Amino acid sequence: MSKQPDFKGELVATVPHLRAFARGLCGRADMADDLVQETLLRAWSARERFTAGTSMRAWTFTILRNIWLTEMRRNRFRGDYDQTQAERLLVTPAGQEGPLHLADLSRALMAMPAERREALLLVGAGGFSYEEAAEVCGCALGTIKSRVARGRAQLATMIEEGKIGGRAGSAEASATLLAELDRISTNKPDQS
Amino acid sequence: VGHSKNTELPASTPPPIQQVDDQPSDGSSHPAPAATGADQPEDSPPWAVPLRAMYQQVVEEPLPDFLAELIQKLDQEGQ
Repeated sequence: MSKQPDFKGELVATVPHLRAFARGLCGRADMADDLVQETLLRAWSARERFTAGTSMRAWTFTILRNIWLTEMRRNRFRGDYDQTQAERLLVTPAGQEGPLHLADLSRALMAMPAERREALLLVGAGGFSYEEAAEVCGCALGTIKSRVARGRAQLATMIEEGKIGGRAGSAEASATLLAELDRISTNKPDQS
Repeated sequence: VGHSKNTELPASTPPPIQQVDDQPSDGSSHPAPAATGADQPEDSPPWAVPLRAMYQQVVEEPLPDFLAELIQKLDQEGQ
């Protein structure tokens, strides 16, 4: 059983990380912070279930991810996809060179399958172990390793070839997003 | 053992973590402690550097007012 002051301190300390994970997942600052708010409320309600001494970050990231999946299903995200961002994606010049801008990286992440994106965010950005990332995503260790490897390769290719972007605002993209969601939610193997 | 269904989290999503002893398998249960050893990714491998920079940029941002206020409320509730 957790001691409340410790729980509260740990939870508060995790908030910036939750924001970073959420921002990477959904690509939108406003929605990301809504996700964090909901995560904090649920984590606080469920605080008696947290075991002191274990990873608050992994616990809260799991909650946030589940909320994100639910929000995606409710069309809250799909329906009002960031059109401005989609337009920026379309005008991203091919073959751009020079140092990688973080905005480009963010766009590249948003253009890849969600399951790879979350794997890269957890392991690459957040520094989670593969085991922790697998637990957060509810999948096997080998699956998360595969997703990270494929995500890395895809990211490198997109950046090198200037293929950052695509038709993120289109109906086709929404259909792809739904298919990804189904795959993530049912834990089907990554076949892409 | 009490595998209570968690009404806070979607029933349609799979258990996000493996079952650990008597902990419930819903999203509010606690994952096992971080593993150590061979399966740990390298510490800041080159490919991850830009990702970490992007992540860290958000980590270092000031919190929006509504989140700071929420934390304040939790603080008060915890007193």
